[in-house]
Amino acid sequence: MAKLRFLISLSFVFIATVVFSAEINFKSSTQYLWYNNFITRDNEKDIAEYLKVDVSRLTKDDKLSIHAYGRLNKQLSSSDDLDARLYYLYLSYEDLLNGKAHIWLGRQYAYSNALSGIIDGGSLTLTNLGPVGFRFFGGREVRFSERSELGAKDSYLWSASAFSNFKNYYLQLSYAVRYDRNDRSKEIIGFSADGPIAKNLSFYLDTKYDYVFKSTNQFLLGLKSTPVKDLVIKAEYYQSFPSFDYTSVYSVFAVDKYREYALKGQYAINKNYGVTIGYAREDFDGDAEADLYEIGLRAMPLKNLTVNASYEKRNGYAGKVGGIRLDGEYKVKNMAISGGVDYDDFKRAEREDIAKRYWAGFTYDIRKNISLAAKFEDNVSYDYKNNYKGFIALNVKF
Amino acid sequence: MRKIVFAVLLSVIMVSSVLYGRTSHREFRAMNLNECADCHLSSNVPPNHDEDFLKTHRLLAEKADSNCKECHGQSFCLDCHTGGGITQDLKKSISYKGNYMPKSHRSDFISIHSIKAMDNPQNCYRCHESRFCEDCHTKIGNKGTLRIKSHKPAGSSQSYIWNQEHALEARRNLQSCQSCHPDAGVCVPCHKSGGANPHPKDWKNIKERLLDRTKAAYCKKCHI
Repeated sequence: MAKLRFLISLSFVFIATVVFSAEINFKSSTQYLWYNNFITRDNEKDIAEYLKVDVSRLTKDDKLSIHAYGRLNKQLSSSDDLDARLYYLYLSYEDLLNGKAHIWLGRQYAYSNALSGIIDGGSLTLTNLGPVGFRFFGGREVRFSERSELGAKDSYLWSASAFSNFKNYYLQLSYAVRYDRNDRSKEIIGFSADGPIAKNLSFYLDTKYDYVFKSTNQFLLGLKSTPVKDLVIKAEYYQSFPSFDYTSVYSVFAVDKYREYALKGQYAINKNYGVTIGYAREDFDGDAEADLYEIGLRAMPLKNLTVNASYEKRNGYAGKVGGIRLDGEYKVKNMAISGGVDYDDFKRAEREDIAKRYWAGFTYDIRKNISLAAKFEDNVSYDYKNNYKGFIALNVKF
Repeated sequence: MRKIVFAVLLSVIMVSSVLYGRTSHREFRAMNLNECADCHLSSNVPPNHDEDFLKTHRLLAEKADSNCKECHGQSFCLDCHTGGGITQDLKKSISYKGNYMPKSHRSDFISIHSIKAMDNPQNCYRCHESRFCEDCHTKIGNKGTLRIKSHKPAGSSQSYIWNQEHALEARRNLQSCQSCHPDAGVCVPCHKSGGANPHPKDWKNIKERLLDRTKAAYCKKCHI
């Protein structure tokens, strides 16, 4: 069914293009991938075709456009059928009613600060009405399995939001409901706000309130400051608790709150060098706590060379991780060569080991609109002495 | 509650008076990110695509009038959130099912995921449904290898140490219980009616609202 939907969708886009003499932009990526399935212990080989199509100039004022993106893939190492995912296919009508209304119809990623998801439906955003704008979306919710698309019948998602962007202050209030087999499985009120408090100091707030459980299942309050030029400091408080669909038996169990207090800083030494530093105190209720330290460096020592390095140390409830990540990219004419190493020394309940990843790859522009990319990777862990994986991709734009 | 929502909505309208005209960034879409600093940092307007952006982009993206689309198509979001890969980012690895994983999935992520998942436990569920966990955890033959504290074998026997520890672990990260026990069948023998009460403190109020919205067929698991 997903494959049929994928083909019908593409046909629809082509017909629209021909009928309206529109401008069409394709992006295709044909890929060969290899990896290991650690459950079955099989070496898998896939061939995948990604296709993205954008059709514009369907009308003289260029307000109407069509956008589509999907994937076909076949596991060559098994007798499994061809799998398909249609990520989106929507018709967009922007700036209707003198720039006041924006409509998207079809499959799309719909979002609000209450709930988000991929839907087969529609969204309407109303702006420039005066002090406040509105956004509505609703439709059948689309869910993907690991390789294809699930036939999520009777699963729906809708949301209504009001927002205001007054001077530098932003406020948004949303109410969203998810239905699963005609039962309400989520009912969330989202509220977010951000804006300046003083010179070089601003705040941001994001909350999700579960209407059935009468509690805030996610809350984030942050302060962001730029005390001196090129220095950004953030302080955050975050709390959440495990949240389940009301249709799940797990929704009836008592749960504890998770709290996090974080302090982060980033400094741009100059355009080519930047450092970051962060600390978070994680509180899992009771005597369960953890500390997380992060430090990072971004550098462009040469015009064509970019290097990123970071170190992370976590210690406390659920285990320890001390990890280094290092990667770099060097550009030579039409080619960019990349490589990296991840090294994580970890200890979780009764298991202590080192997880490593080594990778190298390149992208090569054969022509202005044709490029080749490849990546080769080895993962070393307690599970695999050598877990080789990677891909080769031929990308074409036209 | 709906009255409160309506009142707050009305307040938003009353308080606000003029829509703020934000700078369109459409003309800058082809720029490299480090070039954003030319305008932003030097004028003390911090760029929102900062070093912390992987964690904080949600706050901007969920805005109803977000301007992400001025530079990014929806494929940019979905390539991370649903494992697509039309634009190759060589820092991303491939999952055991052939999907691309976001950059946050470092080293051999299977090795460290149980620890990293605790750095804000809700993060995983922004992209993964509980079914994703079940795919692996219900298929692993020897569940003792998962090394969950309350699941330690008692000596060399087949029975497990089953004490107060399991309640603490479950309350802190109930979603991980669901990974292996999707229907909670293992909870019922002790938590059924007359046994240890698993419900939260204000259960009476919650129960009414739950029953109002769902058929709550699962109640019969414990209340026969």
